Amino acid sequence: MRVSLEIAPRLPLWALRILSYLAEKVGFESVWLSEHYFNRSSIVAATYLLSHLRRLSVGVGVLNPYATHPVLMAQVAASLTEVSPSRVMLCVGAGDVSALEALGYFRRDPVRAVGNCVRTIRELLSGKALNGGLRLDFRAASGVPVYVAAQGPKMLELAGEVGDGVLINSANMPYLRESVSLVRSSAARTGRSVFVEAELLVSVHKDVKKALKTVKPYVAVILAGSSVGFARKLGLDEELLSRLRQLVRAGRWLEVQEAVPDDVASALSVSGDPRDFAAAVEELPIEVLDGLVLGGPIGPNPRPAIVEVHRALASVIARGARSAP
Amino acid sequence: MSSRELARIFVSRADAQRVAERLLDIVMTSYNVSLVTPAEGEGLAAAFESNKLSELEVLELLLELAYRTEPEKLRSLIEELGQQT
Repeated sequence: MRVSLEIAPRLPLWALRILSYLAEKVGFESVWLSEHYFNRSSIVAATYLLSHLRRLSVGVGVLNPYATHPVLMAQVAASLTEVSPSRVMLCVGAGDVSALEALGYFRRDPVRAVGNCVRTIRELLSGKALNGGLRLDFRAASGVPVYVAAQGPKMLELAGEVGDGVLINSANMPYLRESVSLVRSSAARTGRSVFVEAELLVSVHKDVKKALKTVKPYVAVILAGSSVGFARKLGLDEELLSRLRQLVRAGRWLEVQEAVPDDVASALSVSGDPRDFAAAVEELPIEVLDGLVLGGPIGPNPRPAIVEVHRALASVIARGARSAP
Repeated sequence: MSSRELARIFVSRADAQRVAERLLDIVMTSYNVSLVTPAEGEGLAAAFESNKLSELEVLELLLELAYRTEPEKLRSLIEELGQQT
């Protein structure tokens, strides 16, 4: 079982370095840097961390094909392998509806767009020319696994068809087993093997209320970026979804903390004290997963929380699994 | 009391490392973390990686940064540790 950390580059690069170094020290295998357009660049942060850390793999993503051209994604991934070969990962997804709208993009035909994007990146990274002869003028120093971030059933099936790995979003946690099954079935139909990782929103603190309060903005961002259909599946009313979108877009985080109901935050995250976290992890369908990605705030105070969550995962990690792509 | 004087007191404490980590947490979780310059942050990161957070110069830097980003939290911590601000 590979255990990774996801960090949002809302912190300065030096602080990301401290948290990543700590993650490496306590035994995490990789760090994903999430991409949000109003935080620091995940690509720049990845370059920085790859040059400072010795062992951790570093993933960029989730990038989407609407705001970043697939050729640029391939260019970034190949360039990063020159910073540190064999430690670079890339994740492609449909993007956050709300953020894309704010930037003026329309998320048209996301499954097709993501599928084409992954295929294009793979062709270019392998040194091949695209139709029309477009190619990178340099070769990547190593392979780069391309993950697909998936939430809905069609995207999960696509992930099985084209991804080296899949990150199943934490907002899908109540349906995790069903989601993994969709990916595995799809991969089996195409004779492929896909590394399946569940991405969990985590907030750990001895004060449970504080842990829950800290995770709520992250829950709101995920909900604001989700489809109405997905929200319905979770039993959320459209009025709440619409309000969260407005608040998230305006960056009114204190109001977000008031607006997200406790039960919704609890359902979509693993929040509580370290013992709550350990118990929740035991409830996960670990046997069908290849990896866990712990994302979100990790805790109101992320430095000690990183140590606590890794310690709590000891029994899960010990169960072992196949190698990462 | 200056940050240098406070750092001299804290560096001799048996729990100097713990104090340094609490100061680091105050800075890193602050909404004002952007007030830390990249050069100062790089210094903290290097000290963290080489396990030198509780050395005199680093403690002094941490105190200065905690004062810059979260003066009230720093005052509470100093009082908790039995010192006068």
